[in-house]
Amino acid sequence: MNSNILKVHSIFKKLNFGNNIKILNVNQNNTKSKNNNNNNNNNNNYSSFSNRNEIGLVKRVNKSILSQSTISTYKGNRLSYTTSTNDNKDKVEEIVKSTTNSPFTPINILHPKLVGEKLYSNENDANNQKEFKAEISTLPNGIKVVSKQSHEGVCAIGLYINAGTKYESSEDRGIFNLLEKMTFKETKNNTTSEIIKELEEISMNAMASSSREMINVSLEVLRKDLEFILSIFADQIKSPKYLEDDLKEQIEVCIRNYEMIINSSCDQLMTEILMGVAFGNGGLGNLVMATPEQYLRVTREKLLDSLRKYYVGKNIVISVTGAEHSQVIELVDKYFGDIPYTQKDTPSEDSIDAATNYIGGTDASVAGSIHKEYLNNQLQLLLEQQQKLNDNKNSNNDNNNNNENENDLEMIGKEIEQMKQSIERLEKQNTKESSWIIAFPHSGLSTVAENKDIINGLVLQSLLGGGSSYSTGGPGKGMQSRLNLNVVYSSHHVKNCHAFLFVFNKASLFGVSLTTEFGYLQDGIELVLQELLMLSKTMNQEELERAKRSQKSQILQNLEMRSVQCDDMARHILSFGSYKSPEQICKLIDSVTLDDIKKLINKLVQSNPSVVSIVANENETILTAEQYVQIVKQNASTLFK
Amino acid sequence: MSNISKLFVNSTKNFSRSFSRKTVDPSFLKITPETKITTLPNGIRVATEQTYGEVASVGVWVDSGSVYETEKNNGVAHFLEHMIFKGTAKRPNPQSIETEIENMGGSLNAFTSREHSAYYMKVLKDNVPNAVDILSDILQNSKFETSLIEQERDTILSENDYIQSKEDEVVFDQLHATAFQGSPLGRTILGPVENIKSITRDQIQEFINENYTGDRLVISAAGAVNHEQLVEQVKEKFANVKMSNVSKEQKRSTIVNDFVGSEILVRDDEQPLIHFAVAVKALPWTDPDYFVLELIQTMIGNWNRGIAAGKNIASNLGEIVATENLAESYSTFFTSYQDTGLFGNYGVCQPERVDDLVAEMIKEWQRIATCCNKNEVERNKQKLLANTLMQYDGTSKVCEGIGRQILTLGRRLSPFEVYTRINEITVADVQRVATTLLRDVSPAVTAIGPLANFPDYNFTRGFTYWNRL
Repeated sequence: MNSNILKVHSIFKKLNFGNNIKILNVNQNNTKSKNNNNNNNNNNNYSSFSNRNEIGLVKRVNKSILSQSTISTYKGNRLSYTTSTNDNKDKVEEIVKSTTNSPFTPINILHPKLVGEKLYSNENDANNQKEFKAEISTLPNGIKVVSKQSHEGVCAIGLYINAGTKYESSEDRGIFNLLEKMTFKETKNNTTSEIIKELEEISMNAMASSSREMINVSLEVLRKDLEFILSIFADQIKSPKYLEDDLKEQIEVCIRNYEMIINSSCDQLMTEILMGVAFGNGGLGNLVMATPEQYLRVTREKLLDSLRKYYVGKNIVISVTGAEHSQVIELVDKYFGDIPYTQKDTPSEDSIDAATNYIGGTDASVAGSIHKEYLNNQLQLLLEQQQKLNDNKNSNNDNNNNNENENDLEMIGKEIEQMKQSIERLEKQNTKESSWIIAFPHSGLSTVAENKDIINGLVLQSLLGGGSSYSTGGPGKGMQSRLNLNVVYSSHHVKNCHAFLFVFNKASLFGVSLTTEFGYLQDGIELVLQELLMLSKTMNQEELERAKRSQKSQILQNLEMRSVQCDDMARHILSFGSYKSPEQICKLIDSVTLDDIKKLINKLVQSNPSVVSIVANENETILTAEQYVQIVKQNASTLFK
Repeated sequence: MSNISKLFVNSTKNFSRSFSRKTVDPSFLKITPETKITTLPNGIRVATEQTYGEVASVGVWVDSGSVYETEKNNGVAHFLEHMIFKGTAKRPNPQSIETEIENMGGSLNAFTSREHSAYYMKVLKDNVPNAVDILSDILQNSKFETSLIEQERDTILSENDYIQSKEDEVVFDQLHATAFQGSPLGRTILGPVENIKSITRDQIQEFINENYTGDRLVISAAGAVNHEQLVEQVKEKFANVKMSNVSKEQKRSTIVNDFVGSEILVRDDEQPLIHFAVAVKALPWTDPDYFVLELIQTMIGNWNRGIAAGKNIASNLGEIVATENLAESYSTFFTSYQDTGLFGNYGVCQPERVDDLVAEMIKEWQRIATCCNKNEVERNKQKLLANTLMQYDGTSKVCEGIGRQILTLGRRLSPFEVYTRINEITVADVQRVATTLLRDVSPAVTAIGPLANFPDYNFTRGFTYWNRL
């Protein structure tokens, strides 16, 4: 019997363990026994080939209430091969370094089969000398194909549709969100399980997303699978089944998402509200998510009809990185060539955009109030249902029916109880942070073709920058930017503060978001206003140059990622029909002057803002859009001379 | 229930596949530019992959991490990584470094692991010389001012608090502590609180002098960089770095990490979920079977409630976990070190399902060791190849890949070699490696949360020789 003296190694003391710790040791070969009977004293690094389990002593230590701690030792099973050579019995040699008796070569040595073989192709050198350019073609049926060759064996592939919540009328809200959710589902040719398993095996980052102006499906694969993926994408939009069961399941997913978003005081909720304030109901103002009632109204027929109307040649862009353009065109034509250019009832984008106008205004709410309202409505519905069942019970004497009724009543009773509890919990919730967003209208992405409004906006965004009180990462995150130095650093009550630019085709929003501890929102707002209103007087050339460089490098760094490159090309084409290369964009950024930025900020701050705030409770003071306009008017003479 | 679902799994897997794709010529994998490597007189290795474009990543990778520490100075490697941004003779304070980098639109970052430290910058192409200059300056001439060391303690302590609040970090630190008890790998990267509070300037200086020597530095770059130019710049800027008088191999051979089958359970009934890990001793970086074990890792797979695949996940364990609602999430990990490694499953689950989940995990190990089939192995080879080659997205990832491979393997694996090595794996290899590493072994087990129902160690141990699948 092995009688090792047990000690809890000092490491354990350093981990923050409470009392309820159970530590058990299985010591594998603590004593390095040797089963070679030769005298290899200077070789005692080798352990024997032993695979026994001997149960050692069991000892009680550290008695705690919840668990009895036991420590026991085993003599375990370490595998390691030793052998002695025939001609010299005193010498022990390790023949296989690996514990697993492998036929392969260690990884630090070149694979023997590849010795002398060319591991990098010849054309590589020649290829390397040239920079690749994005190439664009339009097929006869209107589908636009954009691709850019790369230096790697991987492609990013994306299918982009010019459709989204912007196009939804009040009757069919939620359609595009559900079309997105029904991607990679069963088609007439393949089952869901086949599609998913196949994609899981060969692709990375497979995803579908829907937004206000675009729906897309994208993923990354090795070059060899390009054709297969295009055939899968085509199958998805040409012969979907949209089974009722799948649809029901996805409607539930959407409703859960809706509940999650209104439940949290997250950024997403704020920006969704902001879009409504800025653009009103309908068009760009439509929230990306619909309400549960709206989702429940979506039917399979409506989905198929939208698919027919919107997924037409003129609305489709296919974007690929890491492939030859001619090959991509050929494949797209093969799989998507039979899609019609348009349908008679396909809505035109211009008519939608013409109906969308910037409005502005204020939306202020207390944290949790939206969620509470939602829960109260749900509770009301449940109570009504309960009432109905009770009425039924009283008027109905049929036994069978009665039993069912009883069950339903019980279920509803439970649900009501749960709902009441969640409301109670919500009321107890103590939010300690208040958030505020101010945004101003700016030109849309489609103007890039004509002027540099958007470029100026991007530079202004980096110049204002931002940061948060718990910073992550080192230099390069805008630590020297205005909002970080003058707002985040100057008050430790500010949690975070950032400048943003939300870009859409025909309009964009430039603004600043701010989160502070409860009670300090007003202080934070003052600091932000100071920056916004005084910027044109105080900014200097050095920070402009820094902002320009940082914006350029951000764009270029993002474009390194193949999925971003793929997305970027498609967005440009969807928005203004051509592609501005990063070099062109960088040149435009270089040309931005102090005067450009001054003009822009003066124009922005004098426009009618959209303000959204979610505060911890009613006592927090905010600044509304109207008050803001007042302040600007009063000080106009000193500010914008 | 579990048996029925498994029968179903096998039947669907053997079904003729509706997708058939012809085998392809793998020569497209040769288009990636070659990585050029130069060793300088002081031992520094410079490695670049030139892909042109507008951006370059340049990094210094050091064969130094918490494994080179002792009990007394545990945490110093990480502390050093924090202090290296705090000022040199030429750049007197943290702000001067920050402003210089932000003015050129670059970024600088760093991390410390158990075996490596890395400092890497991403810059526009004309700033590559500036990046080399900054990196060489902070690595050779940092002042480590005592006043700034005092300030930094709080930052590191709050980082420590943050890590202690992350269940997965705690579980993996515990796992190392138990599996490598008594060995350097068992210690944490941040070090114990008393060390964070007491590490001195001398300790930091001593650690950098001893470990940041030429033979243990790799300067790797990717993107818009020219190898020859970079070599010249490094030669000039890193001229003061000395070759170590003890060879790297000699230094490391004195550090031995023994795996111990053992268990640490920390019961906390306040937590809603259990987080646990079950691991066995795995393979070091250079092991010939490295890719076989990566393949086994892929076969066991990962799953969480969020993934779109849901019950349609290809992995057998994933499907069982999803259909029987055993877990919130699980993942399969394989961590290599120079002389050892860890392989196992990490799981997050409801307290009442934990015994089933642990059992299913280890049963899956046994299934792979005894009766995995060709179809499944071939599919997962495809997946492993795709995942391995597609992870190098952007210059930072490429730069990191080069740095890590040069430090661990002394060379760079070309995509074509990765293909060759994965392609030659057979079912027999998978079963051989799984049998040796995963069958009849004493695992290291660790868990936190409401553990009343957590399986006893002998139960877990016993499942590793369970024959009834």
